[in-house]
Amino acid sequence: MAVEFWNIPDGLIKVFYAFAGLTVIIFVLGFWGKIRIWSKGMDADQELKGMGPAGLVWLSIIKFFSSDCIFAKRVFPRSVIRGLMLMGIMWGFTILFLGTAGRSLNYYIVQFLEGGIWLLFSLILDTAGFLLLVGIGFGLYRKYIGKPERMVKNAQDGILLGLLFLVVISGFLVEGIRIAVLNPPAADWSPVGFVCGTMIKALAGTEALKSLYVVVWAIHFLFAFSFIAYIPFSKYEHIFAAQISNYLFQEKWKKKEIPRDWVFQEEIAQRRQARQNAAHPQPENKTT
Amino acid sequence: MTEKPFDFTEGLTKKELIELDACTRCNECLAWCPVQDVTDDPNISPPARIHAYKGYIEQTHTLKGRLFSSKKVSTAELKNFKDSLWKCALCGTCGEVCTVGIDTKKLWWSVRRKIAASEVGCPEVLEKGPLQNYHKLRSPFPFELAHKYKIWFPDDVEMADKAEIGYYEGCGCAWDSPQMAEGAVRLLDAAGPFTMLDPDKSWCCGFPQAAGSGEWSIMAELANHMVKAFSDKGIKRLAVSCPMCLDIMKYLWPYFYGDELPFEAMATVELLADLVEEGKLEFSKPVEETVTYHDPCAMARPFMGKPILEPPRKLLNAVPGMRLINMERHGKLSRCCGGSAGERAVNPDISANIARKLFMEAKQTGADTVLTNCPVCYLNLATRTHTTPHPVVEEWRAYEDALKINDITQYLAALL
Repeated sequence: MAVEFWNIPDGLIKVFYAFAGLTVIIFVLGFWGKIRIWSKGMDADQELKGMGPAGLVWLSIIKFFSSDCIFAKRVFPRSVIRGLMLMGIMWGFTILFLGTAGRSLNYYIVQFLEGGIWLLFSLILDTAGFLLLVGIGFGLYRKYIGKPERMVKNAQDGILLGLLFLVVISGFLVEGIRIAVLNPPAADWSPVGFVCGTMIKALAGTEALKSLYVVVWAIHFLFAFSFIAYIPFSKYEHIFAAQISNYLFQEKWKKKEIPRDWVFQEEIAQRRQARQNAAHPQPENKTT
Repeated sequence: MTEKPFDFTEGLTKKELIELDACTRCNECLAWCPVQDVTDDPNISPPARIHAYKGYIEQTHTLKGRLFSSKKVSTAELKNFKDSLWKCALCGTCGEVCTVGIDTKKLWWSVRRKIAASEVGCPEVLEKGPLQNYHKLRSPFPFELAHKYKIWFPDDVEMADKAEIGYYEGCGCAWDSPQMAEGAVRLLDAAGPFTMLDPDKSWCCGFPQAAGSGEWSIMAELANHMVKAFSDKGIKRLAVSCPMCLDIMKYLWPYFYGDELPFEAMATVELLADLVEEGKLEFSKPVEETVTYHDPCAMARPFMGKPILEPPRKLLNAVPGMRLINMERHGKLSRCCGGSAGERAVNPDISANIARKLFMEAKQTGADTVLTNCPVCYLNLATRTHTTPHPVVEEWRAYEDALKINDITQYLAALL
């Protein structure tokens, strides 16, 4: 079964919660700032007509599960490497995110991660971590080795990949140390963690590993929280925006309606009214 | 009282504001961008422009921007951005290959409109040329509309006063590439009665002002005038030779008119292909020639509706004996000629170099003739025969006899 906060001092758990809260606040503020800008836009496109911030968030979440996004359909025809990078990072990150949410549910609300479910859960999350690592690998390869002829250079791109890499590596180290120390039954259901654990076991004794665990765990959560807080301020905001842009691009060829509620509305309405008046003149009011 | 900062979001649509945040800097567009092909400068690429414009919005609209940046975007910064924005020929290839579906063509139009309305305005050469001419003459060219048909309308072609089929030549065809307009009216005449506007009523479609100069304030008056003028002629199907005119008719005219257009605007080649199918038009003279066809940007990647790729090919396949081969980049991913949306006037060097790339690709097919269907593509490709001294043009002269350049309607009119 799932073991939460193993070997972590109470004081550090409090720091963890403080950082978690801070991360949520920064993320929500940053994301809210973005959504507020989006909803300031004009209603020229019927698909987004009248949508406020909540509607836009829902649309982006729903479209995240469109085949275009989950199979990277627009990316693969352009570059297989980039497609694999996207699939690895997107799927890995999404499963790990849902897995973390699942563990929180298990810890705070209803315990369900036991027996076979826990083993399967461990296997899926471990595989997701590996997928994420593979995706990052493709990303780093494309950025630094097999890079395209022309690239817009931006330090942020490297920072994001590096940060994500450190989150995953530190995550596997945390898992590996725990396995090395506790030697839990069925640890091989977390194959990457198990391999890490086997290697780590050969490096140091139990007490040293327990101390190291606290440090690596703290680094892992700091990296993870930094990454999450950075999302709305970085190009990773495309996680939300790209779902909507992709959806509207598919609708582009179907478009027949005239854009509405856009620029110069007053003048257009006046001219339209004048045209209608000329076509159907009103009878003059006769005064006696 | 402090001056209200320029609002970079005002007038942009929700979709456009979302698109600015959707760019992943995957750099795919850089591999396809015609301007990148000849400048190799990522600082003027689509992702760089998106990043910059997004930065202006964040600077003035977010807490982070308000805390850590100046409230006003500097004039120097805006001037640099303007230069980058007007180096783009608005061909839309970046949008076509964009992996997150950013409709860049519409986005650049809107952003040009915003920048033109800012303190830096649009490039002077466009302000003093096409825009001023339009305000005086309702045409981007410095000529009276009354003379618009004089140099090309054939004496032996009869134009009906009213007809269901109408023809709009567009200023570019009338003044810059008159062979196109002549070819089109000859083909329409062969198929049956057609009508056109009186020349003094045949205003500009608005493309050079809206796309080139970023000036949209003229559009409501223009669209109302033009739609009424065409309706008064009883037109049901309107053939349009210039694909950029057609593009703006489908995209902005209905909006600025405030209603659906009371006629169907279509490319001349679309109407001609229909007429061939209806048996009203046929090409009797056989041709023993290999041709290649260049899909103009506005037909390959239009704002609204489907790309117009098949009709010109259907027409060419209707000519007995003709062999049509495609260029490596054709259809939706066809190359840009480098001439549109002010590129020719603002950045003549970039424009000529882009055209050279297209010419070379056409030449590589081994075809005898490259055909196109846009006054700007035609003019920009034919630049090599111009007398203006230009290093790129001089290089082309070596190929003067290797590949003929023609417009599809002019070419087909000779085969009637």
